[in-house]
Amino acid sequence: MNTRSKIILYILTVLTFAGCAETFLGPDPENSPQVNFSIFWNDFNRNYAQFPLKDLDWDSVYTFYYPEINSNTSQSRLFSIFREIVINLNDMHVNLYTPLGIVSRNSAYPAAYPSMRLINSCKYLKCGQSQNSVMEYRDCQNADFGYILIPSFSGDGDNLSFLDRRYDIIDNILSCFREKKGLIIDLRSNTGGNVFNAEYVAGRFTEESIVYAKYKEKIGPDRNDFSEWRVSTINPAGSQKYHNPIVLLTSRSTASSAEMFVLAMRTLPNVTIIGDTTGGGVGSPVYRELPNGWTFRLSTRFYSDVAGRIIEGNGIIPDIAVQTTMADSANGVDKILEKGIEFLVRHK
Amino acid sequence: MCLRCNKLYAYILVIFSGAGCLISAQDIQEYKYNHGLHELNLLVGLGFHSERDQMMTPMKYSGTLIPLRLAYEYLGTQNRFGIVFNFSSGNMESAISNVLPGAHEANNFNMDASFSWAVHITDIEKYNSALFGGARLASMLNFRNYRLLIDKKQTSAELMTGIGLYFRSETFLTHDCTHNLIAEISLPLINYAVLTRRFNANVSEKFDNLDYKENMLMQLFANGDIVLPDKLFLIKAELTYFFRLSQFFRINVVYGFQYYYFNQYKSLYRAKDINQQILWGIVVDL
Repeated sequence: MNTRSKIILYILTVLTFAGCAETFLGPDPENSPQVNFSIFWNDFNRNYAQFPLKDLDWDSVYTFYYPEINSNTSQSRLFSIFREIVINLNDMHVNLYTPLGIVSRNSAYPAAYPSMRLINSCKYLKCGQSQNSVMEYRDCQNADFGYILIPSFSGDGDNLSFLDRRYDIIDNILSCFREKKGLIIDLRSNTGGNVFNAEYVAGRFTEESIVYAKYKEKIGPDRNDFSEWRVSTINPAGSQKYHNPIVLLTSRSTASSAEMFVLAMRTLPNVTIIGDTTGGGVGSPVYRELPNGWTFRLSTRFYSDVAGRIIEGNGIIPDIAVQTTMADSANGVDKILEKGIEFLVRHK
Repeated sequence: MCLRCNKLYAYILVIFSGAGCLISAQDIQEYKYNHGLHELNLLVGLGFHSERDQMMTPMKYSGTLIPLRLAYEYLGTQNRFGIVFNFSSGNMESAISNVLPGAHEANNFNMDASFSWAVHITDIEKYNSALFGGARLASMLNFRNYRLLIDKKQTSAELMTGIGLYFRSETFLTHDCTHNLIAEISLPLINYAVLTRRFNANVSEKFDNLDYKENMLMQLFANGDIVLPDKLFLIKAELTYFFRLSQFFRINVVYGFQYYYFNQYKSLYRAKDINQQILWGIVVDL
């Protein structure tokens, strides 16, 4: 064999390896209605954590829908079937994302729901105060009290940290508010985000590590493959602590990581929750995808408070239940915020 | 198995038997030409990365990466010692990446470092080849950010450090040593690995006590497991062709192939990964 032949052999060897990816990895699943349905159903069967909380026979979902699905089933019909399933699961963290539309559970609150909004803010708060992209903070018109709006806990960190450093602004805010006799933290429009950000902020209000929630998570493919109860903990963080009375404002829109924040804060003796029951969806969701390009999301955990009361589907009941009605909103009255200020006036 | 893969085995046998490198038997001692040689090798090229991470998606994700490699090798009288640093980065797509622009894509970052040591086992005089055997210690990070929706990322990564068998054959293709060929193969026998899939599902015992304000990847690395090939199987093979330009400079072309798979989540899901590279480089003999 001459040199040229050997070099050709080398090239052939390289090309042979290069063509074998599919042999090693296997083919993609077929993009057919049956396969898409089977993957969808099986992913829930293996990964979904909240079947024990649902009055739903998941096997019957398969036996009910699968016989009507065949290779001629249209995408729109498949979408209708998936939509029915998603809505029946009634889980805030179960969603379907497709070119035909996005499906979520029926909202826990009406389309017109003023309880989730800050209304007529300048009536209650001094305007023009500082804010950054994750928090807004103002003095109340009654200068004894400070007000912090946290619209979200979203955001990831840099350098592979899960913590978004923009939340460090809480230290500046608490420094500004250190003389205030009371603090209002408004979470009414906060639908969640990254739980690490929520715990990081909550750590500013405790001097010790506190277990604030419990959860079970799926650890195996069988429907009963759950972990033992595990706990979520807040740890002291930041140099600036605040120990005067704190009011958390909540609504049905307060959900996911924001509910974790509420659970953490309500373990503290100086915290009172005022507003409406929270959304009731924590669940640690993950995304999956199907061969037809649709994406869906499902919950892999379920949470309870430290007393064992399940949060999923139930929410956190406030210490003082108040709602802002449409009439209040029309009249420029923020009933929940008013109640919060009134509470602080009485307890300062 | 595909026809090309059957051929592949034939090629491997040919290369490791030295049959592809036939020159006259009296040149068998020529490998000693390298005695006491230190060499530095800088390479760039193209990488072809395919992954099916069933814990993340049923779809295969593939893409072209840009690899960069820096290597040092000591060629002793009866031994070989090598250090290799390899980086590659790029995007991967799946068959459904066209459904929604900006979604169903993944960013991929690979980094590995290896230390290999081998001693001379035997010569195959007939084929002017020398065989070496020893061990390789290798660390690897395969980090992926999947965007299954436009604005939603899910992170997946494997971190592994393993030690195992390492073999190489060195063959001179010509009498004047202008052309030579090195074939290498390594097979880790034991790994310290972090095989977590997602930070917020099914692996919380790995995450619960971490300081999320700090680099999670480094903390996770401290929470790995010792795994054997039944759990994590990895094989790495390379073919390198050298052409001598002058007394101190050579050029080389490397084809690298790495495949690994591991079981996860009570063996329900399996992640499989192929990383192939074609690299061109320059070798400086010190």
